[in-house]
Amino acid sequence: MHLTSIDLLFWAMSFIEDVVLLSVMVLRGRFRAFPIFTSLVALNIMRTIVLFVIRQHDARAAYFYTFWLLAVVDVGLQFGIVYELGSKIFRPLGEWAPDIKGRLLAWVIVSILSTSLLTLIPRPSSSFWMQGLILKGSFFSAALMSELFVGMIALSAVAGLSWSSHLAKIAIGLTLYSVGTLVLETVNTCLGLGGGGRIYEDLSRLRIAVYLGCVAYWIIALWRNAPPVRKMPDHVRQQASAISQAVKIRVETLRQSGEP
Amino acid sequence: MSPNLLFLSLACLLIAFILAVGIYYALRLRASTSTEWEALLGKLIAIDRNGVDAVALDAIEPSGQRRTDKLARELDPDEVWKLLGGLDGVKRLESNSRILVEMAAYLQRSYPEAAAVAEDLRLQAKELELHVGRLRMADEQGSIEFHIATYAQNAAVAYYLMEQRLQVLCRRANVQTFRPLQGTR
Repeated sequence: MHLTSIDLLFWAMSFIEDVVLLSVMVLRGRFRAFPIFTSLVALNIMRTIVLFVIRQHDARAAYFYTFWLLAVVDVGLQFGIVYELGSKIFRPLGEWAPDIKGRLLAWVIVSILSTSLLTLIPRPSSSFWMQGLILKGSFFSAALMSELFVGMIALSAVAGLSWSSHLAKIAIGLTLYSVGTLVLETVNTCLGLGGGGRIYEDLSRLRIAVYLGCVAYWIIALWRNAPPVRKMPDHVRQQASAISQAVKIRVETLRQSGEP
Repeated sequence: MSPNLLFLSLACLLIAFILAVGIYYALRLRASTSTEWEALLGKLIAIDRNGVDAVALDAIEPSGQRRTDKLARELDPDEVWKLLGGLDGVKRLESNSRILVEMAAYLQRSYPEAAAVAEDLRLQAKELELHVGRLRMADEQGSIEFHIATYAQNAAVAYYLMEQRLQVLCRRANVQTFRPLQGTR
């Protein structure tokens, strides 16, 4: 379990950045709007501390199982964040938008099925069956997360649903991290743990570098205030009301004309 | 082809697809967020008012009541289609529907207090887009003559009524008249 100086540097930087991000979430009150995202940041801090303590005791088996157990929790929370963000975008009035519900569900099902099929194909080189499972599981979660985030972006653009400032910042960071991880996990899955696992370790470092960049982005973006809420000018309010009523009449007529 | 090579090829395709879709729609969202209300109003395409009026008044009274006299709905489908501007006219309606969706997004984004109005407008505009899209698809499939009678004239009636309603509302609210729905073409 040899750690190079760059591993220690990344470890320390991850810990510091996560603590700063958690402080921003708490001090700026963002945790109220994004509790699952805040939980993920807290989990990362806890994981760093726990794994560091285990490593000090040189307990390899404990380290392995703790690492992957917490990785599963991490992935669970990431899917929780997809729900957290999706429920804010696609429930503008507190209920799922009726024109979106079906398409969103279809996208989730198609993503799960296509990613599952893709994950069944490779035969990554590994010494134990569990290593192969871990490689495939990592690819599956990275691919599915990327598909879900991109699907949310596409569906919201098509439906004309906008994103609040901080929500957009969290989603951008997570999308970039997911797609970056997907690229790295694709290489990992193809190459497996051959070559003494050196390529795997190098790619893991690259993944941490991407994560550090995303956390730095979140610290700045979430510290800043969202653009101030404007009071709706009277003329915009009147025009919106007029358009809304006019379209209602037109839709009703078209609806009637389509009836048998 | 070995399983790993097949996997690599498919995974590369997936990554390319995710990047293309993500970038395209992210840019679309970004462009949408930088557009102001007045610009959106300006993007609405004018409708041929005379043509729409002629088609609408063939079926309804100027007051909006359905005509029940013997001369009601005497325009044949070809005339209706021609007066509405054919496929181009329908495309203009469809284009306006998309802009209405953008207007809803603008309201939702800029004025949280208007969330209910914005969602109402968005849902109506999406439904309108659906109906007009069906008419356009019928034309593409060569079956438009079977649908003009049911969709096109009613669309004109609806547009006419909408225009009347808007003018009253604009006068009452003392705001700039809603240009595209007045029809300047």
